[in-house]
Amino acid sequence: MFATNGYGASPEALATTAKSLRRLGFARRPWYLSNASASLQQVAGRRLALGDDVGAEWVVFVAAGDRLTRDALDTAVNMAADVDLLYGDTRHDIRHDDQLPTFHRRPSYSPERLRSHDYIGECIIARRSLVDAAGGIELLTNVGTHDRNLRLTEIAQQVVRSAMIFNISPSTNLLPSADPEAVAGHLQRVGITATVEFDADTPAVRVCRVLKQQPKISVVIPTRGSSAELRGVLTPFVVHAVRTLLERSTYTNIEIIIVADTPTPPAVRTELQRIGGDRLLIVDFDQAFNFAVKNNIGVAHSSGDFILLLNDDTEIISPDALATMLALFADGKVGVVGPMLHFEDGTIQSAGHVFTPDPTDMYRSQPAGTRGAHNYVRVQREASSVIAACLLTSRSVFEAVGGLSTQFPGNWNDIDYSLKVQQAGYSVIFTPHAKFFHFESKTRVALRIETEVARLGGRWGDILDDDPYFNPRLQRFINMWRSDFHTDRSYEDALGPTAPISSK
Amino acid sequence: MRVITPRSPHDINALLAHWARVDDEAGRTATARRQHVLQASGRAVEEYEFHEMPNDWVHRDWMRPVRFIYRNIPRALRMQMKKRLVK
Repeated sequence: MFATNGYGASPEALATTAKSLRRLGFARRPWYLSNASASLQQVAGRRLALGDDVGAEWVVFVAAGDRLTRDALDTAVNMAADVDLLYGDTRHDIRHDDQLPTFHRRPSYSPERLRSHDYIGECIIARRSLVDAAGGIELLTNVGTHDRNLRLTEIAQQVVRSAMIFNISPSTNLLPSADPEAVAGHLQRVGITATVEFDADTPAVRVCRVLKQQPKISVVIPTRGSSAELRGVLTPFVVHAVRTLLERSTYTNIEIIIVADTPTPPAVRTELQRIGGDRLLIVDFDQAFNFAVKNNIGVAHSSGDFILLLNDDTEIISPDALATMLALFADGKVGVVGPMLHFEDGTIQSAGHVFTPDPTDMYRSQPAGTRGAHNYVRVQREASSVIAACLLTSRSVFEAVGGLSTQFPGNWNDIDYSLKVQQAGYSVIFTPHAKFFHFESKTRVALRIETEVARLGGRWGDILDDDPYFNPRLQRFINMWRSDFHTDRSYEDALGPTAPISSK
Repeated sequence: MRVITPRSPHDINALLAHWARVDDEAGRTATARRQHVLQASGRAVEEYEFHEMPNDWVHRDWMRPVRFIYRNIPRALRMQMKKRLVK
């Protein structure tokens, strides 16, 4: 059966939706139409049988004016028995200059992102049993879509994203909506202690979890003690990272483990010891370079309940960054949290990773104020991986997955770690509300080692080819092997509302 | 507070060796899972490389004229073709 909120709908919009349902051969299926005036009921009733059907297996929620596709219904019919909620992509029938439609491609189920905004949207297909358990069809049709989607997902057994067009919408509003009251209600129902802040400009909801304890964070910084010009001054990076962390961070229960290569200058060691005092330990490292081994050795020397892997060329920006990241671990299923990283000039260095299939920093080199396609950069969300230049993880998770894999001495140990953490049943969260500088060279090209590619692919090739928090329909537009990639077609273009996807 | 490493050098080496074993096990699990996924979808299990984009025949250069023609034929015909191709 089908369900539509008729509030504010025009007769033409309802007629369009009814026509699409008739075309698909569902003229005799009941259509539950709420908040519709008598005249609207009359328009809809001429085309379809209005009413409820308690015996229906699936309920398709469709907005007035949208047209459903056969793909949506076929997907539902072929779904496994334990799947009780489905959503897909949307085609917006608005035309740009190039006469091509615009698409809203959605990632797989991302509960943290759903708390930030309603990325799932209007059109969903839910089992009738789930609808009844979540409050009934009357309630779910009448509440806003963000509220409805939160109510359904919080009790669903399995939520599945299908990378197919489910509905064709005439709406020109391509930004996901956000309802802070719905999120507050959801947090109460699922038992998350947090406050809710609403950014009406984006729009997005920030869920600020309450930090109930102050566990110790061990900050592990591998370094060679190198210096470079930073804002016009020759600065030893590691000294700068430690000093700014100690001076700015509002979270103070930290210890710092410096894993220093043998060539680290004595002056740098002395300065570190001076500014770090009793909270800092320097561990000597005299082996061949292996980023993973260096970090693992640092962690082995530490004693905190949480581990912050931090590059030496970083600087904390938001004073509450550590507290913000740490608070996310209140959800026991969170294994890794990564912040927003910026280059020295303020442009984005990494907003989490995306696999296309080459792991890449999202929105790299884009301006600081970038909101991203569908506000992607502005919301706290699950990611397949975050960069180890700044990565907070719990000690128990770190030990459970065997730390960073030493089989990846140079590249992708963070990717492998994030994926191992997810394999162990934990999630990886990116938060834009914690910010650090990462003074990596913008022109740096990572040395690609074929054995590492083979190893990473051998373990995770299928996930690299289909990043669950991306969309397989978009990957073909991102060719990482082009040097002019970022200037040619940005993620904004590839993902975003301004990007006509010409492949359909 | 003074940072004192909670472990002796011997303990640290033992811990690193233990983590390496756990990592190997996680790697084996991941490899087996990937092979299962590939076999279930009827694809060959072979060494991975990034260079080939999966299923990107649509954007090969030789497809450009075909795509152009496809985009410009009457919509009804296009929809019919699409329906048949998708099946």
